[in-house]
Amino acid sequence: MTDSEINIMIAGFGGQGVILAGNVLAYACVDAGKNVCAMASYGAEVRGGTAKALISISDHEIDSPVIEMPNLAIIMNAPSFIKYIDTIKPGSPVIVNSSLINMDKTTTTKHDIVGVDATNFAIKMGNIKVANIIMLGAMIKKTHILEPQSVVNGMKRAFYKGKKGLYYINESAFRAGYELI
Amino acid sequence: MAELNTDSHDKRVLMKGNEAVGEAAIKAGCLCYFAYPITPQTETPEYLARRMEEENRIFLQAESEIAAINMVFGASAAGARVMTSSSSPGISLKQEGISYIAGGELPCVIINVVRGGPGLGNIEASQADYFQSTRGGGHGDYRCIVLAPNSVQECYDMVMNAFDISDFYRVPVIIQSDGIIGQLVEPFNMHPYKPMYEKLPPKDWALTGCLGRKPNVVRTLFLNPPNGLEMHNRKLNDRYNKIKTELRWSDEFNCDKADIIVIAYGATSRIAKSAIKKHNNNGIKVGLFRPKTLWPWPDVELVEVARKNKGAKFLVIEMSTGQMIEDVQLTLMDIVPKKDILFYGMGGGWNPTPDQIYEEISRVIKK
Repeated sequence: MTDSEINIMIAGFGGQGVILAGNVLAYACVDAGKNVCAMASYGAEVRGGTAKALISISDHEIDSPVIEMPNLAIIMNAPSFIKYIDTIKPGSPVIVNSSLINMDKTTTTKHDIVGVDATNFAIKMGNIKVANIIMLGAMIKKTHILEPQSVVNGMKRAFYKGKKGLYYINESAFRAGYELI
Repeated sequence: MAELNTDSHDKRVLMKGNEAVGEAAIKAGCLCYFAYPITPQTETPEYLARRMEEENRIFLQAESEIAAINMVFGASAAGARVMTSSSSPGISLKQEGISYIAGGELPCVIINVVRGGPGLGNIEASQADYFQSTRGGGHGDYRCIVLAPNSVQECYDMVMNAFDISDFYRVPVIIQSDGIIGQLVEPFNMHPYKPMYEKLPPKDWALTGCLGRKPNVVRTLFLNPPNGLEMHNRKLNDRYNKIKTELRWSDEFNCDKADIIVIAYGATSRIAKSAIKKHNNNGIKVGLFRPKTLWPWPDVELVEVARKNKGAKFLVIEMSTGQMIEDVQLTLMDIVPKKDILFYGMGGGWNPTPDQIYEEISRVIKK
């Protein structure tokens, strides 16, 4: 792990699309010609349990796939916030889903917290499942770690051929998230 | 995973290690694949369930690991390129079959995505199956060739190589991956299949139906003549010795006038490399020696590293309580004092972090 590496944690409950958001981000990195290395929690994960994806991004060779301390995070629900906030490097941007996390509880941490009303906005868009991509849009706006177009191209790669409907709603969700903050 | 349908110039493909293993088997012409699901290798059967059907080849989810390896035995005897995959507890179940395949001089590829043990253990990454893979594993005097990838690219490349090597020597080849490498998602170059050898020996021993020719027999029982098994073992041993001279793979990083040489393979080698680079940036001379073949063990290469780095300490790091270190000690016993060969590791599905390895190297420096 070198200083130029961006180490991202995406956490939430199983079913929120945490792993999928990580995959989209990884595809976006491939599109942008960056190196990327992603690890997702695996095994006895169930809908409603906690799930976590860790993604390292760098312009150089990525050695350790094991991330010491993420320096950027997306947190989708309250239990994940409590569980993981202390493992994230102080001062790092942390994008939290304010629909499910009480923002009053986030003021005591030493992180650069950004609240995004992602789940409520996803419901307004007609599909609660795209909250993850709304968060991703907000994260890209906040950090500029990738060009938005790379993420859009990444989504083209991540969603299988023949599921174009899925691609379009996720692209709208990404753009919405990008505009939300 | 997804087809490339963007106009991007970057043609790298993104996959999990376990999926790259599956695609490499497809590209290398694997005709039959038999397996049973187990974490953390299940993405390989999941991937091949779809791809083998697309390619009109044989995918069969067996009723057990034991059934799967015996299906491999049968398909290999019939001359097919064949693969199975599992994780540690499942690989233990396969040992009887692997012994028979080795005894019958049959080629096959076996993937072990190692997890914590003994027993059912857990589902985390581990390297505790080193002894099992490199010492045969089942009963009898035999060896399997063991390749240890440390990236998704190497998962892809080594599986292709494994089919060629196995056909060339008629020895089973094990790909020793682990829960980290198998689950890792990385971009890699999905190049077409490049055969390792110009020409592979014809499979004239295969059981393909003997109409118009002398029947072939694949045997593992040698009762007659009385020294039949001894002769068979001698023949196998000669082959193993040939492999030892022809197939030792290893990698070196900064192994030149170093004060400490770290020895690690698989996921551990990458975690260690992060820590080593951090020390190098501080002016500390630390190198990395990475075996890519666990059997045959790259002894000549390691001795050469010891000669190039006189007086260096050797730190072996494994996700186990210490298995590969025995090979290191045997190799270096005449040239490095035993006290200068140190170990850092733990079993039970534990994996080190770059910082932990960094600290351990610092401790070794101060000693």
